[in-house]
Amino acid sequence: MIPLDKDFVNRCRNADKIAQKKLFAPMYRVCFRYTGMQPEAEDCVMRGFMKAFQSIEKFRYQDENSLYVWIRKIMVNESLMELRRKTNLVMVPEEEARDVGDEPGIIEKLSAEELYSAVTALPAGYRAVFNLYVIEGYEHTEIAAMLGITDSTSRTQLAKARARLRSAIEKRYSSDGTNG
Amino acid sequence: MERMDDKLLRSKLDSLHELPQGYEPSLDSKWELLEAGIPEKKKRRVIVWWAAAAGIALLITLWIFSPSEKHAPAVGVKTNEAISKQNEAPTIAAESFPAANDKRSSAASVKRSQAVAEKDHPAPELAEQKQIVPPIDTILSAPVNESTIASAEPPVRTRKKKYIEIDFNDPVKEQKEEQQASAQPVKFRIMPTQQGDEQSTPSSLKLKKSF
Repeated sequence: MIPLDKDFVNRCRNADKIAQKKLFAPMYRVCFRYTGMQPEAEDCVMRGFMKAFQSIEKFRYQDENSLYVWIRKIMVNESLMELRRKTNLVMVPEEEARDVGDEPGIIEKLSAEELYSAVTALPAGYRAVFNLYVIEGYEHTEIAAMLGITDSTSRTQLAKARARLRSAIEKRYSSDGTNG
Repeated sequence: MERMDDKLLRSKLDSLHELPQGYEPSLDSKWELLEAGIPEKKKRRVIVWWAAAAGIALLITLWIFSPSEKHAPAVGVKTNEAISKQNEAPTIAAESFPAANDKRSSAASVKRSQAVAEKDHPAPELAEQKQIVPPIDTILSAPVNESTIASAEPPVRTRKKKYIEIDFNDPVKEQKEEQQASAQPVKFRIMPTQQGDEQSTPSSLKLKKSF
């Protein structure tokens, strides 16, 4: 999370392009984490920025994180709309449900970029639930309402997402071990 | 309940604020596209303000350097505009009073303002009379002739009597005076009478009228 002070907020309000440009990369990262595709992520960033800067007069500064959180929320909504529009949030059938956290320390070993690519490689449905629950901190009831699914589906999707992530990381490690 | 690995995952994924390596096209080229879509409210406002300020400055300069001030006839035109503005002033003054809840007080205040405005600004008829008067420079510079002075003198007005004066105290008096003025003098003389007539007529009747 980037700390954005009041001066930065005022610059954004005054349509300062340098200030606005600073937000592009982190917001692109957010959108790409949901869509998993560059063109879709760019479209989401575009629409999200337009919405954000059109209604930035309504934004009320609270602390250094408030603007970042506010814009990120807009980006997440745009990404979810994009997912609903272009892809079916296919809920993958039941598999084994081993969590990522079964082996402690495996996440610590991964770099942020590796973890990011592993998350973006998940199927759309898993990715959406995983991002909303783990990164954004929503509850299952909220996620269910957002995606138009039931609570239990959200829970199972999250479990599956964790399992898929774990296997992806294991594969990566095993390949690294064999290679190195 | 939040798990420990979730916190770690979140912190790691949130730490990525740069574009991924190999991102194409560049951020600048992408930003150009984005820039076109982002609204520029503030810029437009600034442009509007600048345009308004420039317009006012232009009007002021035109007003200052306008040739109408140097030539006398144009002054009349200018005063016309000023007078017309002054004539409009009372209504503006009346409108400028805020509408109070009490209608009486507002009506009274409007009347007062109109009275003050009429005092300060002459009526339209007077204003028109002012327009007829030539500027003082032209009057002073014009050559002076006696004829012009004579013509300049106002004509003496004689009142025509539209009625007959009647003295109601003595209405007959005037008639008498008129009769006296119109009457011819009558002369009497004594004439010698004839003998035959002496006995028949008295002496008082012997006087003969001689007109």
